[in-house]
Amino acid sequence: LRLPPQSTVYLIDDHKPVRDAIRVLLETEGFSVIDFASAVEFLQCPREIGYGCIVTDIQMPGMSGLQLIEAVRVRDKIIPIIVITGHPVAAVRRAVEEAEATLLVKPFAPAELVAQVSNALRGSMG
Amino acid sequence: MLPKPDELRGLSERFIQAVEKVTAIELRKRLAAHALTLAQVAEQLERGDLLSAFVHNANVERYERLLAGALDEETRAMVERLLAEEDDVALQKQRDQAKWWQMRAEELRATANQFAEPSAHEMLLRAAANYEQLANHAEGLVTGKPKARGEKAG
Repeated sequence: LRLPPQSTVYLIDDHKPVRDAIRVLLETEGFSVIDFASAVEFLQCPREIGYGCIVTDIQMPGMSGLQLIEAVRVRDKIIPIIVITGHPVAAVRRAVEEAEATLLVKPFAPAELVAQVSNALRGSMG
Repeated sequence: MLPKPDELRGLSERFIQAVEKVTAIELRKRLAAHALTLAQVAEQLERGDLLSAFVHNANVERYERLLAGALDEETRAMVERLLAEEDDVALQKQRDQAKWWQMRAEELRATANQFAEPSAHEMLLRAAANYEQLANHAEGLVTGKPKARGEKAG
């Protein structure tokens, strides 16, 4: 499986109700969404470097969102990352800053996520 | 008082189902946004149980504000209406299917009576009984009451 590039949003969240709702919201806004229940599942899928954007939760069993960001940045310095978390502790804020990611604190306004994804994809597509 | 996380999650699922029934793009967006808010607040309330009561209480007002649109009576009633219309269509399909099977059963019984040869007669009656069972099963799904063997559907 090779993931399609460009306007794709890669969504990683272990919490199914939130994952489903984000996917439906972004799809109604015209984005193409591929969702994953874990960070490992996402990293196992090959994708084009620098295309699309990542929306990821932080607190996930197994590999956390922080570990995911680190792993992504080793290979891909430019893909936009939007971090969504209910617990924006100092370690999270630091990691977000280092990865030049965007932080949204749950529960965020859905329009805010849509705006951030739009911005991210505009940048991602050059 | 805020609803329980289970209730919010259930509502979020219903809003998502409603999104799939709607073609008007703005309404789809609005329902999807409400679904996300409901799911997020459910998640935070659940995780909030693990945090201090102070943190939880500090957030209640914010959650109530976020949920106001989704929990609005009119919006919820609209979602239920959309889903009820869908249920009606599914029920009618089920009823039609039950009627069709019942008619097949009656046709096969009438055909069986035209056969003097015992094995053919018996085979057709068995097929008729099977169709009748299917009809009863389908009718039982519609009414929520399974019919007894031999009782006619429709």
